[in-house]
Amino acid sequence: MTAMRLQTTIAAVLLATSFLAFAYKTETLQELLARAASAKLDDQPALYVEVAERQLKSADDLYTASKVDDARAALRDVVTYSETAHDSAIRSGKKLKNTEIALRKMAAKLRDIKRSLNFDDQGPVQAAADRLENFRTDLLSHMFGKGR
Amino acid sequence: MRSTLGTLVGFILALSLLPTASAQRRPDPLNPNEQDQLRDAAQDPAERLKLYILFARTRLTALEQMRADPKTTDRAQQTRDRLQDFLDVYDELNDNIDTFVGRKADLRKPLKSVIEADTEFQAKLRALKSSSDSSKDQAKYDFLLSNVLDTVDGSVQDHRQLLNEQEEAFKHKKK
Repeated sequence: MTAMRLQTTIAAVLLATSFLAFAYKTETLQELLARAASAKLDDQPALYVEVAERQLKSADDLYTASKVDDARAALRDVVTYSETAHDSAIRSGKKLKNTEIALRKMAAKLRDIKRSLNFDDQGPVQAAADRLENFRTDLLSHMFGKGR
Repeated sequence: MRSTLGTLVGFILALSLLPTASAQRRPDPLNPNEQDQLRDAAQDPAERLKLYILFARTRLTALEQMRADPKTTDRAQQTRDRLQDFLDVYDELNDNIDTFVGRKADLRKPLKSVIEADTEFQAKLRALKSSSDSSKDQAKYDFLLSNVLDTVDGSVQDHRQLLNEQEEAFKHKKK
């Protein structure tokens, strides 16, 4: 009887976990943003990095689909939410390294996207990559007292 | 008069900011010739990843040559710069793998080359880690070197896992 109850509990926990995992996967950008805004300061850097990463993926897809104006809007989001992640990491003093690594990888992705574009469209992407690099440098400065 | 003076002050201020703004811009880690090669291989995962391996290897070779050259000045700073070059290219290699995975490309063959290269990069980076630079010099690039090693160590696990997943997936596709 006890074993059966245990099995039922485990099954319920597994079901709840997979439901939560599914819910997070299908979470819209607005839902993710709302969750980030109401999250504890320590959890905000990772959540805002996720927002920025999603918008980076959107920007890439939009550039591929030649929707340049929409892509630029997504690009602005990448910078905005990267900055928010950077700010919350500094304020909380947590996840500095993870945030720095995520920004580094996004900057690499931006450089790769830039090279696939016409010369006229490259400027905003390069500018976004530069902004992310500046946030990175600033995070490194906070990690070590001064930039290394 | 006041507005002319204000414009002049504004102009001087803007001029003084120009070097700062340009100094913050990082050069592209790939040269134009490398960028052209990548553009030509945009639709070919195997060729594109092969090029990234080659470019990453070139960065580490340049680092070794610089360090072996007795005429090198400011070895620590140059070591740091070249490590950053390698990391930028290696990040792009990983980013491209992710992109091709998203497109459901068959990466089994190129991944084997990537894993071989990972092992080679790990060995070279560990050799650098145990180099005999003075502690003051090492401090200039030690954090970055640890970062690069962490990245390559983490990536080699990811690449192996991805290769296993792809082998399993394509085995089932054949049937």
